[in-house]
Amino acid sequence: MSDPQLVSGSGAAAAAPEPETAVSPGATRVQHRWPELLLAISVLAIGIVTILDGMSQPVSTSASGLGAGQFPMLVGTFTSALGALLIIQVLRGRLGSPDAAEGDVDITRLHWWQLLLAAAALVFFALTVDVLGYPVAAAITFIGVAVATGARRWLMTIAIGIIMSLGVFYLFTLLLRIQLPAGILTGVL
Amino acid sequence: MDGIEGLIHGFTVAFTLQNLLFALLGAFVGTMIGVLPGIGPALTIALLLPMTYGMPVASAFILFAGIYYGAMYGGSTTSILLKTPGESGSIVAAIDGNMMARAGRGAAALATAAIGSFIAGTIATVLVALFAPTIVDIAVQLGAGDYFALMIVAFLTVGALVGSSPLRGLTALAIGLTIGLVGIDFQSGQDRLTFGMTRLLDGIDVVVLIVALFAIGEVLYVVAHQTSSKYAVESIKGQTWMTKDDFRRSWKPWLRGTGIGFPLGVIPAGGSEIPTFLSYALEKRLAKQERKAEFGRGAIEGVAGPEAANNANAAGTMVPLLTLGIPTSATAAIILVAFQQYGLQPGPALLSTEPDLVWGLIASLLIGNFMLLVLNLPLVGVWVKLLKIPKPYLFAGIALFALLGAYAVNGASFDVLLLIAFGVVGYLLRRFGFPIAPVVVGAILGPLAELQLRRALDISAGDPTVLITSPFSAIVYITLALALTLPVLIRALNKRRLTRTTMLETVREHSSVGN
Repeated sequence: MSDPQLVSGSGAAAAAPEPETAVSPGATRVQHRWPELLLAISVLAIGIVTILDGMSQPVSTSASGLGAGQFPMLVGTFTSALGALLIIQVLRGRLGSPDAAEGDVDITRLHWWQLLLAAAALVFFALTVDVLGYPVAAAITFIGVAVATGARRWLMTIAIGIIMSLGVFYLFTLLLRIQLPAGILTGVL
Repeated sequence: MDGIEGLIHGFTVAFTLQNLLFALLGAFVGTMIGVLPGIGPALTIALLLPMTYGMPVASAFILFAGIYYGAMYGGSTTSILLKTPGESGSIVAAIDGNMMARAGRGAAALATAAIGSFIAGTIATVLVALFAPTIVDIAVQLGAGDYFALMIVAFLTVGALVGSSPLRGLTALAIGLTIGLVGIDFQSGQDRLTFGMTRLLDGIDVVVLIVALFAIGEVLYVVAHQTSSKYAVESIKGQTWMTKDDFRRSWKPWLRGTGIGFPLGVIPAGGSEIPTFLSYALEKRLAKQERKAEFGRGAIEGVAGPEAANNANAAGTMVPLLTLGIPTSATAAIILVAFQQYGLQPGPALLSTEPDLVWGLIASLLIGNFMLLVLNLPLVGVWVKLLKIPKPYLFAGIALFALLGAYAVNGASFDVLLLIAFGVVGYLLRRFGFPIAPVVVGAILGPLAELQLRRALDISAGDPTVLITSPFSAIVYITLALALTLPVLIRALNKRRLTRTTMLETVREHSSVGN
């Protein structure tokens, strides 16, 4: 998540771009363009990769002559065309309006270390759940995300993290009979 | 079996003590999760899916019916008291609902939303029962090419009409279609877009995808851009419920909202935003002079109408889902996944092969809806307490359940990594104004569309004209062409852009006046 395109928003104090309207070429607003441009280029790239993957599929022997490759090529063409259009839109200064469904968010400010911490906590769970076991991995991840979202009371956070992860563990293994790994606590729990 | 008979049959299936308890449990859990800020109905069902892994199919679906309406109801509570709708269908109701709550009329706003949802849900579900058999009669005669035509309609309407711009909506759809391609091709056995990863051969699990886009994307978005780590929850303590005057002002918007929401759910018109906007605009237009000024500052009609439209719309999407197997919303897509988990494919055949299940589900929707009214009017204080969970613990909890949901699908940490990767995608989509629902619909409907396309062309030995020459598909494409060109014509006539963006701005203008 150290992708520089995310960080760029933090420096600019300019107001959020208007939805789908041309932005005047002011110096601070131009700064907002390139993260989105990068995204548009990625869309184009995804489309091209999909086309290439489709072209590499073997020729079909079915009645229609349609094999594994044609539909992906269709989708890839669609995707890359949209990616190209997006690039043009962004270059013309028509930027997207961020999700309106959430309250209390300001996209011109980016809490980058909190974002990194939250992402790291999530990845930590993925990498350690099989080794450390569900309760330990989940408790640590809970604490990480809570701190990233602004938890300040350490003892409280740690206590809730432990109770939550143990609660879920027992709910699943005992009540719903879905096995979760106990990991290093095997035999203890 | 016609609609009424089917419904009665459904009630005989659903009316066992055990099933009623499941419906109650579903309504309870659904509301409990749905009321949490940032969790919409689709995510609620996706998160609760693991709960049903060990259950018999009939009970699982009755549980879902309760969860579904519970989540819808819970979402409206959040949007009114907190102004974080969590899903696009609640944006409009959140404006006046939250203004009412700030003016000390939160209880009335919650009540009109609850009763409106109940009335709209009940009427719309009965209409689903009445319409479904007729549509199935037509649907069984449709060929593969006709289905493909319907899916193209679903793609274009969902892509072009959901969200702030057609280009961004269609891009989201394209990303979804690409995600749907990953894995082994069903016909030739070739692997596509797996980049040598054996874990990807089975494709990307739709549950993982939905949880990632909605939950992880949301958590990252809030962590990265929140302006405060506390929520400003409006209190409803000691407030009076709806007055006689509130009822007088609400009942017509309830019915009108139902009338707008249901048909737009049946004809895959893409999401619940448009019906809720239309309902709001209609109520405002019909309001008398002194009431008109109240819109945007806490008009009860502006909550009653859109909430009813939202619920009726959600019930309406059950028609294409159950009769044609075509999901047109993220919520419908996750219900389709729930069906697939039991090896069932929704579509015209399902009504004749599994009548107990389908009619039982429709009857359970009615029961679940009723349970909600019984459960929620007295319990609303409990749900409001849930909103007091501190934001950090709430989002850490959401993250934890999302990780668990992904892990529980296959017990593999690879799915968790996939979840995080798509969570980042979900963050970027939110951040740059791409709607999420088309991604989900594309990912689940894309493979089905490919199946129909290849089936149609296999039958015609590769002649593509078969796709447009059947009378049904010809009508569908002509209607689609008209529907796509009409707005352009109207726009040219009106000299005014009638897009969702302008609709949203019109609504916002009024809300900002009140702030």
